[in-house]
Amino acid sequence: MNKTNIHTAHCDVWETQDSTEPLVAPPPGYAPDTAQYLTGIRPVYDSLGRVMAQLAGIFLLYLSSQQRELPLDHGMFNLAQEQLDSCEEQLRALRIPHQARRHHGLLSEMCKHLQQVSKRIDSIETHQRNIFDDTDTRLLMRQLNKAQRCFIATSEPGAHLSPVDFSHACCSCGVSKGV
Amino acid sequence: MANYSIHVLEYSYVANYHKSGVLYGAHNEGYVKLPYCYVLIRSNDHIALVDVGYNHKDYGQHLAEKFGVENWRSPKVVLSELGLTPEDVDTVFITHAHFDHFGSVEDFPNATFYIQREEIEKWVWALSLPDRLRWLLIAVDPSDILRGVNLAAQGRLRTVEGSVEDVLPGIDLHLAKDSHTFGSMWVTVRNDGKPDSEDTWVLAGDLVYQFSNIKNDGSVVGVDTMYTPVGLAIGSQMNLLLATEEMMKQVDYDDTRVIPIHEEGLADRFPSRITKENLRISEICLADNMASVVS
Repeated sequence: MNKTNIHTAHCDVWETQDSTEPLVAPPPGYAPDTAQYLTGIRPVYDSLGRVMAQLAGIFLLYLSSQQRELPLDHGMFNLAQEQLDSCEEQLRALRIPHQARRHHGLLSEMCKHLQQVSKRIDSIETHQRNIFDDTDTRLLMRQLNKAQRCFIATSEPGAHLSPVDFSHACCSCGVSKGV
Repeated sequence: MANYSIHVLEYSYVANYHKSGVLYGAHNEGYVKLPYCYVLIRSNDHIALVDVGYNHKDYGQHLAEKFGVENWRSPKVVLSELGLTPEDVDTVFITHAHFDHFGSVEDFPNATFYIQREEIEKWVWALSLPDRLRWLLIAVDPSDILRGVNLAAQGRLRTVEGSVEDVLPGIDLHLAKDSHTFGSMWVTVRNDGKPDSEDTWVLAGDLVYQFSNIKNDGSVVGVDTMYTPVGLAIGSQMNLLLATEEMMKQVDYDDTRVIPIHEEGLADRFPSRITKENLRISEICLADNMASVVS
């Protein structure tokens, strides 16, 4: 990442106040308490998806590096960890209606898997060790895959919980069908 | 002598796509059909694809219902028209990490995948930025990155840095940095295998959607024709145009040899047929010893 002339993730330039409040209206078609839950969970869901992709991306770069060095932008890794911690806090703070218990439980489980992933990635860096072997890789990937399954299982397109922001995808210029 | 056959295989389409998405600045100019395709490159020794389409399993229905993506068919069905299976594919070149190009990797269990390292690095960087910069993440499926990890762990993902020659004999990869995406790539096939090939094809990925991106009406600036970038650039339109110039230079400015994959008009330039699934196969060229699959 240092080869590029862009600001790294921990650069001060990003530390300005976010001026936009989330504009999430309660999703229609749900009971009020469920709708409130879904509205509250959306930023957490989005953030968890990004954290998963960040950790996966960092590990992908490590795996595909011939030198097996961890090309870690430390700010980026630390930021992912901070976001993950924040997600856990937000999850704990949410009021969970009965209908959403399983949904909430799966996202909490996703957090746990990602915490495991984060610890393992951190251990590569901490030790810069050659002993990060195939078993470590398998264990890390198992946690990542479990996190992904939770992420996909908790998608709820009706409430804008979607793994991909399709609104700007190539296909999104197609004529929407009744949406 | 031609070593490779090249076919553009349609796997889905959007019937009504805003022209401004295809052509930068073409606002309020109506709709065009946008085929979704990947490209098959086939020799006696290799079966390669440029891109793999999207992961229909996870969100195909959503795409179909919301955005009018129609008639998706699996790689198994699409490739069967040429007597192939996904298991036969040994090499895949991913032009960029948008979900509709990088999504179906799990369908190709025996393939080695190539993607620009720049593409992965900068997506990971963009993922770490504040929400207000989320536009940088358009069309990226976080799960695709995870699928990439699975490939890498199996030793089936090779990250490429810049231009690489002869990834397969006569096939080169080129980086178009900060253009359609952070690290978009195009594929050049020197079909006679020579360094200064006289039989070169460029497979443009999404750097060029349609012929009009290469040859658009230039009267607005007083020329006959001009390059006009595609509607979406995470990087810049300038970099898209410079990549187009590089691609055109490689084919000695013969615009029929730069192959866009979202171009319905391929049928006007190349032999083609419609399959029983109502999808088009366009035959760009044939290797010396191979029979046509469209006639």
